[in-house]
Amino acid sequence: MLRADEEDASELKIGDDFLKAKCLMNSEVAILLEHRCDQMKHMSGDSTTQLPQVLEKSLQYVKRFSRFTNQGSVKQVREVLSRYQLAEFELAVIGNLCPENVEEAKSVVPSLKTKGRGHDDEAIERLLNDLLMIKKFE
Amino acid sequence: MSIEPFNKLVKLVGRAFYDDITKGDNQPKTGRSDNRGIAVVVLDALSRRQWVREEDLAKDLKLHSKQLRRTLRFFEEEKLVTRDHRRETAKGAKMHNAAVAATIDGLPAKEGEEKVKMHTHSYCCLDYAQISDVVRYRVQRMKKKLKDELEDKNTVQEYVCPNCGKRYNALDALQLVSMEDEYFHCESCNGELVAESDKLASQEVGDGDDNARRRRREKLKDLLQKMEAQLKPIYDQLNRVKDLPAPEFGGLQAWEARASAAKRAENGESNGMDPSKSSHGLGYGGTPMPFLGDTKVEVDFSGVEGKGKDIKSEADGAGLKVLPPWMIKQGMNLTKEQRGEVKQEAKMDGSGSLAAPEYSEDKKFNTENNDKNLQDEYLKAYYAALIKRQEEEEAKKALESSETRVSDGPSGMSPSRQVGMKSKRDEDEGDDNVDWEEAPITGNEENFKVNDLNVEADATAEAEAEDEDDIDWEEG
Amino acid sequence: MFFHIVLERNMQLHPRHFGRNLRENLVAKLMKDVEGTCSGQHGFVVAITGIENIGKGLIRDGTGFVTFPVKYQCVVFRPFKGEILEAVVTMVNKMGFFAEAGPVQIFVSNHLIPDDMEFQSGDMPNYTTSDGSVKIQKDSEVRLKIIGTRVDATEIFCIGTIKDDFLGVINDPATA
Repeated sequence: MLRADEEDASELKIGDDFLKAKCLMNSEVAILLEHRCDQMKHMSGDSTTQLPQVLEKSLQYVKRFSRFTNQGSVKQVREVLSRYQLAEFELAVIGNLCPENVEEAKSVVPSLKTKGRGHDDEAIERLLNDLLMIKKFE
Repeated sequence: MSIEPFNKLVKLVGRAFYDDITKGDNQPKTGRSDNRGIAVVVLDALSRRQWVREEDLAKDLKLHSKQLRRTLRFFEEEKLVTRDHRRETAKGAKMHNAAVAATIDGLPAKEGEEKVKMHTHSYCCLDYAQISDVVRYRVQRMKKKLKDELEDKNTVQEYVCPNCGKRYNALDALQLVSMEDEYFHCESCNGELVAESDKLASQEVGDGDDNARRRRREKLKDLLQKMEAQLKPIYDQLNRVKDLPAPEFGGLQAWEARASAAKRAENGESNGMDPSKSSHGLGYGGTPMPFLGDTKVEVDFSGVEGKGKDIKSEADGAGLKVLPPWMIKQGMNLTKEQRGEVKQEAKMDGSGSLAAPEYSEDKKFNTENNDKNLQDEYLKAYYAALIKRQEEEEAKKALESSETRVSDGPSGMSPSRQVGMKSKRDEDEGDDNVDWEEAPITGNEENFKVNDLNVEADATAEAEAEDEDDIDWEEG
Repeated sequence: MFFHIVLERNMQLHPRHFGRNLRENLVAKLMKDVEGTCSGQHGFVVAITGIENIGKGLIRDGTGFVTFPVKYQCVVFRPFKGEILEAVVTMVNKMGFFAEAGPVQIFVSNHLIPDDMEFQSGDMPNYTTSDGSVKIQKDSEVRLKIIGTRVDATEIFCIGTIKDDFLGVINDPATA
């Protein structure tokens, strides 16, 4: 594990465990958690059952900040973004924030600017367009 | 291996960061008891030595040993100096003297001085590797602090309780927040916390109005710029030593053992001073400069050594070996090109880049003196050029020293100004230094001292003179 | 950021839970024990989504309890320094504002709020630009960058900034 002061998501320094782990976009988490909550309510047989706080707060959060709600388009987003040689973390940030232009994308995901990764502005532009299309047809 | 770039760093650092240190003397600095600048003297003196007994150093510098010890303790804390203490008898002390002697010259150890029974003696030595790390860190921290504050980025806001002085930062926010009002409250006394105003920039109120903020920013920007400019010589020097192996003397014992061994080896070969030195290269690159100067005459045939010690004149000496003596003069003109092979040397001087070549010629001058018979004609022309150069140098120096004096006056007033002052002195000293360090001319030295530490000038000058004596004696 | 990771835990189970429902009992206990917890290393465990593997049980001396090593998949939320995320403002005061991103709380101190936003006290304390066009108050949605995390055994607290490019109030939350 990284020491706290070495951690820096803008340089993808999030520790090996998390770098290898699968990052989830809010939209994906929303799907997973809703499923889990249904399961819980079903198990307790009471639809008004109190959810654990962390789960409840997370669910509220991802529902509020999901850019894509349709399960199909969420899947599509991941598929599309996967074509751009992004790190998991970068993919999720882009999917969560849906930057409107290249400048914004590079600002919220500074690691895109790292040299030699083949993310020229053109590629980023295409990526953002792809996202926009999915959004449009959701 | 070369020690000179590291010594240069030590000198720059001394003048930049420790020039106004009066630490160790808690009394207010009134007149004579002001020991401003002592720190610099001590650092400089150490840069001309390896392991040295603190008593001896005190004697050399004509400082009270208590005062010196305070300064050394401070430098130990600052991680510039390593110290070692041991109980020893007169014999042990002599052993050390022998070791010292071995590093400077084939001198007999001083007798009769330390007939102490069983005494704790302290020794000290510069830790070059650590020094470059520490300084690099320090400089980097300074820059980061300013930059962070300037950009207001990534700075964790700090809060302080005006009642009990307890400190918090933004990461404690959750515990501090109050439901009743819109302030943070102290956990222990429930006092209303105040945001600590930016530490460097302003003494104005913490969450002041827009104007205050703007002014603060400007101040910071200014400060940062000043710092960049004034610490430039240090940055440069740090970069220069970055990839050089730091001089490593090892622990006191190891050093003594090596030194004694060296001496023995030396006694074996009559002419062997230099070979022996290069044989334990690392430890001995840093023998006192004046001595090296002297050696140089012999170096003429053992050009290889020239590389070990990085005095330019010796590099020239290497050239000498191959070329007929009169060619040396051309070699001289070549010094600029030769700087190629002694790059650090030439660049090292930063502001004083003129001084280095000048110095080497100076040395040459001596050399030539010795070989006069060989090279009369050429010399004449050379002398003429040299003298001219020296005069220019002299003039420049005079100018600088007068500047120094002027700038010295108000130092110690406002922090920012002091910074300014310091680095100014830096540069000046850069020049002086070179002369002073490398050419054992007492006059020069006194001059320098006076510039540097207007107070106590006499004492230090004397001390330096004594230092000089020392060296002469070592040479003798 | 939410992650889907595999974690491992040694579960102790009383013999009374053995039998054909052993697995269900084990999983139910795992969920109860683990969900909602927080560790500095892995962040908040939001929900267990699956069991990878349950190892061989080991009988504890003297108690009859059996320890099973269980590997499970779960959704965790772990904030990172340098991460940019969106959050909901929960409280505004003179010192700055608090926001929430899922289970984590984030404090943005007033010096990390753009200089042109001023604090206005009142029923609905807020930070507002001089032209009134942008306002941060309770329930506003902001995009912020985490600049520091404080990790306790059971909690993670963050501080953030909105004083940088593309940070601040999200103009049109309706796009969500």
